[in-house]
Amino acid sequence: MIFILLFPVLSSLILILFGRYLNKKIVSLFSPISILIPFIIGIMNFDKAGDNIIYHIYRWISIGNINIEFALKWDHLSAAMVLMVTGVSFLIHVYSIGYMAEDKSYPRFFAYMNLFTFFMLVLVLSSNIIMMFVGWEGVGLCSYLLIGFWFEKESAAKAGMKAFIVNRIGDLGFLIGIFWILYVVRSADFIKINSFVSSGLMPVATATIIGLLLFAGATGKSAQIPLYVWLPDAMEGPTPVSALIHAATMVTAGVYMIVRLNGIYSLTPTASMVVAVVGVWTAFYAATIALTQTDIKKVLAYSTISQIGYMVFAAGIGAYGAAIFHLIMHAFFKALLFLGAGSVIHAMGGIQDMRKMGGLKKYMPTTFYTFLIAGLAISGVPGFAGFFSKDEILANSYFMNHRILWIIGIMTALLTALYIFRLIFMTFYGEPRMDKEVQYHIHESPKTMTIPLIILAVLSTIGGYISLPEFISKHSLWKSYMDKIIVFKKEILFTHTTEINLTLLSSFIAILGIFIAWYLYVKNTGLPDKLSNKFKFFHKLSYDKYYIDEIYEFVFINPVVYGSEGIYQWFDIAVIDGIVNGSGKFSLYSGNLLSYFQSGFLKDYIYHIITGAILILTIFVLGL
Amino acid sequence: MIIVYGSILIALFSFIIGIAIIISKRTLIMILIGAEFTLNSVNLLFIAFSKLHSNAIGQIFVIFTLTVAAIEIAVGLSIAVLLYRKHKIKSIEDLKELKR
Repeated sequence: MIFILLFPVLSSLILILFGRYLNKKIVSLFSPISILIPFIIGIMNFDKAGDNIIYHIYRWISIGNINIEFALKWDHLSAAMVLMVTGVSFLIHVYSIGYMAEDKSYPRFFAYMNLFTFFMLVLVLSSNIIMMFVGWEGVGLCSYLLIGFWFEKESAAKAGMKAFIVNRIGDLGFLIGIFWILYVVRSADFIKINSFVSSGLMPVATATIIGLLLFAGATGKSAQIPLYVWLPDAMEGPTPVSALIHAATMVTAGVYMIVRLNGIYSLTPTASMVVAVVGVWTAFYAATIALTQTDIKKVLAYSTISQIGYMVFAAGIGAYGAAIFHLIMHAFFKALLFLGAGSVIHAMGGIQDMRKMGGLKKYMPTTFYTFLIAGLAISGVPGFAGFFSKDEILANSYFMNHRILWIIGIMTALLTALYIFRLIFMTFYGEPRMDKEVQYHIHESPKTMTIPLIILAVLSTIGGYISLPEFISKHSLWKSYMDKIIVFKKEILFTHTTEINLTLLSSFIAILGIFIAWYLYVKNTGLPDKLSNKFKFFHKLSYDKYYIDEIYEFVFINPVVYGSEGIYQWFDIAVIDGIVNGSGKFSLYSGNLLSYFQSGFLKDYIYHIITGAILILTIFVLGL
Repeated sequence: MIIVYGSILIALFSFIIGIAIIISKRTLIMILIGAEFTLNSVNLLFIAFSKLHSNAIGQIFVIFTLTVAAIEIAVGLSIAVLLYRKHKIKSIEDLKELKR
């Protein structure tokens, strides 16, 4: 089992140290295979996951009677996550061979990607919360490194910093939450935490505080309100990075954490409610921003924030199985969307503005059809992966009597279909709007890029059938699979007629969204401009992302910058520098003073040494 | 036993000689030679006492001091040579840099 971790980290080390001496072909063979092996190991051990195996590696920290093991936990949750992470990561590695082919830092890219996969595996396989934090920070580091991969560009370097610093804010809460758990439970082990919670030893108030603190970390990592601002900027990184880290795996770590500690969240209705409200709010809010963005990757970034909002919402209302189900389905179709967008950007020679695209359908059919499948999946058209997962979240929220949240969720589903098909119609349909030169160069991407697209398209189509709605099959495969890791199981009554109606409603909503997008961006192309002129205020608000970045800058960043400047001026220069310079000057002057007692002749010193030695010796010998 | 006491005496004398050289001579090279004298007299004492107490550790120490002394004399000698080459300094009377 340890080999699951060993291969990615070894490959990453080798690539960092010797990458520049290796042939490009060796790198592009070596790196994906080191991800494929853990995937195969994961599949081979998949049936063992039901036994909740713990693989002890060594005792890491031992303070008093708190022991923190470096151990791997192999249960249903981590097995599903490992397969998703390694599988998607492998496909994206293969894709990167084509996408990054001309980059001069080719080995460095793969080294970081492998390192990222290693830390992600540490995160999902950890058996205790401290080790999970190591993975949590590790993926944050790799995210920083990969966002700033093209660090020659100032905007990329700044985006990396922003991601790192915003995550720090959330991680502060996360750390305090961990310490609180350690203080209350006296153990960091997930099994101990869950048994502590289920035996009713933890007061509800404590659980609420811990839950909220841990959720602060999740808002940072999973890009929820109010700490989502880093994710859109993170699109400065290479597109495979956006696909792997900022869509499929790392940003879902917060959801994974909530599901892993579902015992604590089930205990506290307050914290859970906060989680649910923040989730659904983020989902709706980000969807409204995605409607008006013109950068193809920015649309997908806000779409990711919105979809993670759905997962967090599901985790908040206690539908943990649905949250992880949507997480995995989202990994498939969002990775596909990003990779498809990457393929488009690759063909367009780096142009990301959708207003300069259009009519790409006939130039790159494979990219178009796979992208279309992903679009259908994310908007929740019946039969595709997103339909089942999103429907399960919405059905759960409806039957748990969160009606207001449910309505917002349904509205978000409409917006989702609208913005994603706006993207598809603007990019692939209509008249080509790019320069003649660019148009001449448009080509379908190489095989290494299209094959991962096709595999992901297949997964986004059939993936949903592991969890059919209850009215179709009584025993949902996924439900019984996930039930094993949930501490407090609760039975929710699903009435079949209502559920069928809900399914029909959400299918209708999805198709309505697609229809509106078609009407606005294919049929009547002049209309969007007219609308945006008519509702200028709302359009501008959404286009400028509700000015949140500017507000943060004004409220948080500027006070810190000017405050530090002030402190630098009167404290650092006056007090600290004064003390340091003062001690230097003191020794200078005292040395000057003492040098009057020195002759400066070597001979004198020898005399003094010898007479001194003789003096000491005589005293010693005579016993004075 | 006579050998042991004899060596102690010889060591004592050579130590005094070394000290005398260091005090009386002015050239850097001579002072270095004096330092070597004192050092080797100490080595001799080591061996003599190791024989007296029939304990081999003293002799092992001598090996160490010899190696360190070799390095030390190499450094000292090169300093002396460089001082002569750069500043034409032969006598320690000219070395007044210690006092600014």
